[in-house]
Amino acid sequence: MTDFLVETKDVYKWFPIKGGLLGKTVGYVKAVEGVSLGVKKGETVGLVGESGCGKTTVARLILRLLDTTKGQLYFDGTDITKLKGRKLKPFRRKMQIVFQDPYASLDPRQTVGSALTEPMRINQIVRTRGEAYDEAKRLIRVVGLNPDHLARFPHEFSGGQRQRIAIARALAVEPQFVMLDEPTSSLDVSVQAQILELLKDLQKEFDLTYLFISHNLSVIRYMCRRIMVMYLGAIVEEADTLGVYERPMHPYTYALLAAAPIPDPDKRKGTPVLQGDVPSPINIPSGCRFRTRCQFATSLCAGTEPELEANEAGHLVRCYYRIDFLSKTVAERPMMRHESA
Amino acid sequence: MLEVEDLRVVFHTYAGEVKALDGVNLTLNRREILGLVGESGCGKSVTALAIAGLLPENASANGQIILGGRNLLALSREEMRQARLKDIAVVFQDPTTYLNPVFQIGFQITEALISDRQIYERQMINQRLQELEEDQRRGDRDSQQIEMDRAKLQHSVESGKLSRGEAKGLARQIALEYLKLVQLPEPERIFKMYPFELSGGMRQRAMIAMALVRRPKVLLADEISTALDVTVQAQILALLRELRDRIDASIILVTHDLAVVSEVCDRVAVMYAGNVVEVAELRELFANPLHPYTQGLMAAVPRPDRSSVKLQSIKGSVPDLIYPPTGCRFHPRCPKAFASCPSTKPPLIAVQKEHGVECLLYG
Repeated sequence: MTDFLVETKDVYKWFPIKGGLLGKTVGYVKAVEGVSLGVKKGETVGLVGESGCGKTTVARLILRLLDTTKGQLYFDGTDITKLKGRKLKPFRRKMQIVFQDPYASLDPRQTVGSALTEPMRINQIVRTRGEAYDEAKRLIRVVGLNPDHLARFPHEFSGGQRQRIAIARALAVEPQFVMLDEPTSSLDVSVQAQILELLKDLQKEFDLTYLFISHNLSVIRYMCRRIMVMYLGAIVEEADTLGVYERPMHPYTYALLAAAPIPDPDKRKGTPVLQGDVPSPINIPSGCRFRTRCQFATSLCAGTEPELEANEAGHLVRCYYRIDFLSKTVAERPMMRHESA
Repeated sequence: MLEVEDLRVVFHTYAGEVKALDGVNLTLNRREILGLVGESGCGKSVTALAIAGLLPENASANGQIILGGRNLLALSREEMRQARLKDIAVVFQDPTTYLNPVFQIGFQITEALISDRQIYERQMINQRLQELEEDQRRGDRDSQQIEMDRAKLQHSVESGKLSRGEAKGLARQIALEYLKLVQLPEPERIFKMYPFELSGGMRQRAMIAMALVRRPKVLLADEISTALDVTVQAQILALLRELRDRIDASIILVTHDLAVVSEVCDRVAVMYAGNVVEVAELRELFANPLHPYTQGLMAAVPRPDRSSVKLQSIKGSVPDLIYPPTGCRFHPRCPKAFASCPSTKPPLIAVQKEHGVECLLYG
C-alpha cells in the first residue's frame, strides 16, 4: 500500500451547524463520509462529481487546510493527519494547489515576481534574493510567459495568463504533489486547451503527481488515467478511465455520462436520465445515498449502504446491483421499484 | 422574427472606446433556437443586451434591430420598456441574482401580469393554452368543466370588467400554468415559496416561467445553464427544446459551450471579437466548419465520449477591443492568415445557402 504518494483512509468531515441561543450544535453537514483514495507517484487521478458532493472538501482535507473529523491521511507513507506547525511545514511544501479562480487566488497588490519568490524564501529553497529572482525567471518561462511579466500586477493579465502564474507559484516550492481544483473551469475553451496541455507537459518535466478535481467529464477524461466518482460525500465508483466512461456500473455514473453534452449534433440526448436534485448533505438518505434518485432502487437499497467493492477487473462500485449499462443487462437482476412495493 | 443588421456597439470608458460589436448581422426565425457562441469578450452577451435594450449608459449602439417591423434602437426609453414587457424576455446566467429574495416566486411572476393593462389578451392565450394542455392530458372527462371555465372567462372579457381580485386570481392561474410548463413539481407549493427555498435548477426554471408568462416574441437566454450541474443542465436544455416545440418559442441561446450548442440549437452563429465570423445550420457547421476560428474552437474542446491524445489550442489571446486588429480581427491568431488579412475586413460570404462565413479564404 505504500506505493501511494497521497492516501486517505476512511476520512470523514462533518461541519457542525450551530443554532439556538446558546449556539448548540443542532446538526451536521456531512460533507465527506468515509473517503478512501490513493494517488500513486506520477499519476493523475480524477475526482468528479456535482457541486456539493464534497470533492473540494476532500482536496482541502488532504492538504490539511481543514482538519478531519475521522480517518487518516498519509503523504508518502507518513501519517500527516494530526501534524501541526513546524512538523507539518515540510509537507506543505510538497503539496501544492491550483485553485479554480485565478482572479481570487492571486493577491492584487503583489507583483508576479513577489508572488513567485515569496514561497521560495519562506521555504528556504533559495539563499539570496538574486537567486530567487533567477529561479522566478526560469519558472515564468516554464509556464509560457516571459520574464518581463514578473514586475507586473495580476490585473494586467488575462484569465489564462493568471492561471499560468498560479501554476508557476505552485511549482515554486518544488512540490511532488499538486492538487488541481477545477483549474480550467473559469477559462475559455481555447485557453483551457492551452492550460491542460501545459499541465501535462509540466507533469512529465517535473515528475508531478496530480489529483484533478472537476465537474467537467470531458476534461477529466482527457487528463486522467484513473477516476473516482463522488456523490453526496462518498465515492460511488472508481476505475480506470476507460472503465468509467465505457463501462460505467453505478447508476449515478451512468446518469452523469448520459447528461454530459457532447459537441456533436449527431449525438443529441433524449430525455435526461436523472430528474430532481441532490438531497441535502445534512439529511443523507438511509442505505444507499443515491437511492432517492435511482431508477433501479429496491427495498434492499433502503437498508444498509452498499460497500465500495471491486470486481475481477479492479473496478470499484458502491451498488448492490452492478448494472452493465453497456449491454443493458443487470448482473443480479434487481426487482424494479413497483415489484418490491 | 428578429433581424439584426450591422449592429455596432461602442463602450465609452476612461481607457478609450471599446469597440465591442463591429457590424453584427443576425436573423432569428420563428420557432427556432439560435446559438450565439464564442469565448468571453467576443460580444455575444453585448449582442443580447443590445437586443433587450439593456446596454449600460456608457454604451452607444448603431445599426438596426428589427422586431415586428420596428427598429428597436430607434425607440424611446418608454417604448423600449413596453417592448421588453411584451416582446422580449431575458433569462440570465445566475438566477439567484435576478430573483428578488424577499418576494414569493408566485408574486414575482404575477407582478408583471397584474401591472399589465392588457391582461385580457393574456387571458385568451391562457385559455388556449389550457385547452391544449387539458385536452392532451385528460381527454373527454373534464371537457364540461373546461367549457364552463372558458365561458366564465369569456364573459369577463366581454364585459370588460375585471376586479382587482379577479385579475389577481387570473394572474395566479396563468402563473401556475407556466410553472407547470417549465416542469416544476407541485406548482401551488412553489408559487408560495421564496427563492432561497429552491435549488439552482428550480430557480432557473422559475426564471424561465417568469420570462415566458407574457408570451414574448423572443426569448434571450444568456448562459442559462452555465452555473448548473451537468444533470440539471441536461434537464434545462431539454426544457428549452420542449418550449420551442410546444409553444413555438423563438430563442437566442448565448453560450460559450459548443457541446450545449450541439445539444439544443437549430442554427449557430460563431462570434469572435465583435463579429459574427460564421453562421450556419447546426449540422452543417459541425460537419463543415469553414472559419479558421471555428475550426480552432472545435479542435480545442475535449470530448466526454472519446479519448483524445492532444488538444489543439488557438495561439495567443483575445485582442483588446480598444485597439482592435485592423482588417480581419482574427488575423493575428489565425494559422491561415495571408497578406491581405491585416488590411481588408472580410465581408459575409455565402458559401452555401444558409452557410455564411466572414473570411477572405472563401472570397
